[in-house]
Amino acid sequence: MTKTFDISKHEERINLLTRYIRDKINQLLNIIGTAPINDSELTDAMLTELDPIGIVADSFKQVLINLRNVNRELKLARDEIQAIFESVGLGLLVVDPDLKIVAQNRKIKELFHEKENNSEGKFCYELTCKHQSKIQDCTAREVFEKNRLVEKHHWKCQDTTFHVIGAPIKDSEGKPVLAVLSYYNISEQLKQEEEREKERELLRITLEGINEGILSLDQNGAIILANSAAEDILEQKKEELIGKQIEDLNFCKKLVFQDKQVFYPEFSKQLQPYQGSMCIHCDSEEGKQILEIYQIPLLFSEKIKSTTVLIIRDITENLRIEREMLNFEKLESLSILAGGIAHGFNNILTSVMSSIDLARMNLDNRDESETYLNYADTALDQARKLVKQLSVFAKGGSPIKEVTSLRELFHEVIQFSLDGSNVKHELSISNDLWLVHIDVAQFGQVINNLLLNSLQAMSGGGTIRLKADNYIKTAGDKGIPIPNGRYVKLLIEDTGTGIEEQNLKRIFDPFFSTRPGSSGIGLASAYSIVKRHYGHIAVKSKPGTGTTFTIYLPATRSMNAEGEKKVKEEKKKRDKIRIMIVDDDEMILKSTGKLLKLMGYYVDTATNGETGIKIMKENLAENIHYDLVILDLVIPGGMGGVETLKHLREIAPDIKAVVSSGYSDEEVLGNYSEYGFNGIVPKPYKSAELQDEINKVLSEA
Amino acid sequence: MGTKKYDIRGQICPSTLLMVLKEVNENSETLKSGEMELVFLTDNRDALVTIPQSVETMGYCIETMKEKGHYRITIKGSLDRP
Repeated sequence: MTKTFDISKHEERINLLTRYIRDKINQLLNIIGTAPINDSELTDAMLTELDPIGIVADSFKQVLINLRNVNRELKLARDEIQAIFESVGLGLLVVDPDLKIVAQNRKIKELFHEKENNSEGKFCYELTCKHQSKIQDCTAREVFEKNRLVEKHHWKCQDTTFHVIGAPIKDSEGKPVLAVLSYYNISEQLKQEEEREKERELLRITLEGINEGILSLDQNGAIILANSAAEDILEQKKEELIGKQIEDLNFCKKLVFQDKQVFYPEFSKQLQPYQGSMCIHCDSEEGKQILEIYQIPLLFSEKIKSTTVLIIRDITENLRIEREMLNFEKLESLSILAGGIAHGFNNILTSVMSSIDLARMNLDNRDESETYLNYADTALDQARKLVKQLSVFAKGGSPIKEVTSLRELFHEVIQFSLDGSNVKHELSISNDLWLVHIDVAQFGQVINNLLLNSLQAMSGGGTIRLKADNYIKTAGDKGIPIPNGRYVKLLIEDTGTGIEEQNLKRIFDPFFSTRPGSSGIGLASAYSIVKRHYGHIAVKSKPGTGTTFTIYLPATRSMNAEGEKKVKEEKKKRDKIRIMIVDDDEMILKSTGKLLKLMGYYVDTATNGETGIKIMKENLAENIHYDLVILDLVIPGGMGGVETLKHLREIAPDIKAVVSSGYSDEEVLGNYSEYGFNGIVPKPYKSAELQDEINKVLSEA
Repeated sequence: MGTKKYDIRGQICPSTLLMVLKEVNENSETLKSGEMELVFLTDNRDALVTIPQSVETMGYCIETMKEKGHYRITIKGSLDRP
């Protein structure tokens, strides 16, 4: 059966299809948001030509590709945010408007000690506020209410303080849908700050509390710190001091350039960091002010770089008190001295008076009365010795100093003091021993006194060790009360009985002695002489073992070897000088003779004029000439001074003569030159006076 | 960079949009690589809404400028992510 083609039905189908296509095209155009195609505008042929379905399909293909790209980028961005969320050092929390936790990072669990792995669904206050719901200071609630960033600098939860920032996440209409809260624990930081503040406060209190003025200088010498004591001492306000250059301060104006430079750390770094003190006398409004300034270089601080700290003490008052104390001590020792003299002389006077009384009672018996008069003589001899030793304390006993080496002095004194004793000695003097500036006679007495002290402590024999070394006192040597510098250190060490501890402190006191019959003046005069030489004497002792005396004497500036040569030359000159002493008192001959020998002269002695003339004649015959004669005016039972001089001038016309007498009312003494004398030394005389007079007489033409 | 310029003044919707989409589709490679930009001159106000909407969802950038009696629409490949 043949199917007949129904044309009307065919057209109907085509129309239906065309209608469908046109509708779908319009639907697509609607989707992409443009106007539909008007049927009358485009014929089917034109529609096919335009190909709207193809165009829209191609566009959609691109829309899909773009969507995929955007999705990929979104995922990447979300991963990035997640990584930041977890790795950031802040605790992060995302909450919804009901304060339910939507998200949280690892750090938040650590900060709030959350043990559960997932707190999502919990309320934020359960986690951060520890169940104190509806607390006043709620950051999250504030973010939702205000819909903006909220920041709290010191938000406390239990013992921890946080810095909290809350930020809203808004929807397309700008309403807050979520809040992001960040928590930063600042407790440790606050604690550290508090401790630093405490430390600063402690330093401030300490600085303000001390009486010494403190100034810190920067490397350019500008003041960067000053305390209240510095304000008071320098009479300037802190505000005025800070920033000021150190050399602009009043006290600094007194300094010489080199001393000023010492204040600069950069300068002192180039040399050696200067640490030490200096004393400066200034004029203040209230009169003289004496400042002691101690300088400490600090080179270690990196933050402040190099700096110098000056400690300033106003020692005006201290010095005044010290002076007063010294005066008081002087008075005290004077009273001890006076008491001692009175005691000593009373004993002697008693002995003299009773001896004379006894002699008078026994005038009939010549031998008996002679014996008692001899007692009186002995007692008077003691009195003379006492007076002689006391002369050291007299004001006029200031040392006549000369540059000398202690080497020869040691030899001479040892020979003089230890001769004939059962004590051995060991002498050790360093080869390059510095020279000292001393009064030879006085210092000889010091060593002699110390040696005698040792001898008396070693009645059963023993050894005395003498040592002389160079010594440099530095700031580090505490305990020896002498200024820093070069010294000669003498050591006299014995193996005697030693000194009890309670007596050690007093052994340099005048009239203090543990030995019966001892005057107690030997060590006291040694002390006095050493002090007058700006030296120091110290004693160490152990009962049963021995005693050590140590003397520090300032060394001279002159070089040792060269200086020693000079001294020797001078001494050689002196060696040529020969002196004769004529005196009936053998004690005087012995002591003055020794004194002159110590001064470096050749000395001969005679007990009367006749003997003196005889000795001189003998020596002249051997071509030994005398330069000076010291004559006693009155010699009982022998030729006196005036007559002796006449005879001596006959055999030695150029000889210089000095008259010496214990009598003050002799006519000769007042007009000595008329009797041919060149000088005079009234008895008792001090070594310095004798030396002065000899020098004067010998220098005269 | 090359520029293709189309004067489609006088055309109305939807053919304005279809015309633009067709050119964008055909030049998609050179647009994306940044070698090319397309400039359309139109006096159809509706196109100022429809063209950006469609072209932006396809991932392109668009600039519109009002000139004397018409609008100038410039289409470029998408900007790089910052």
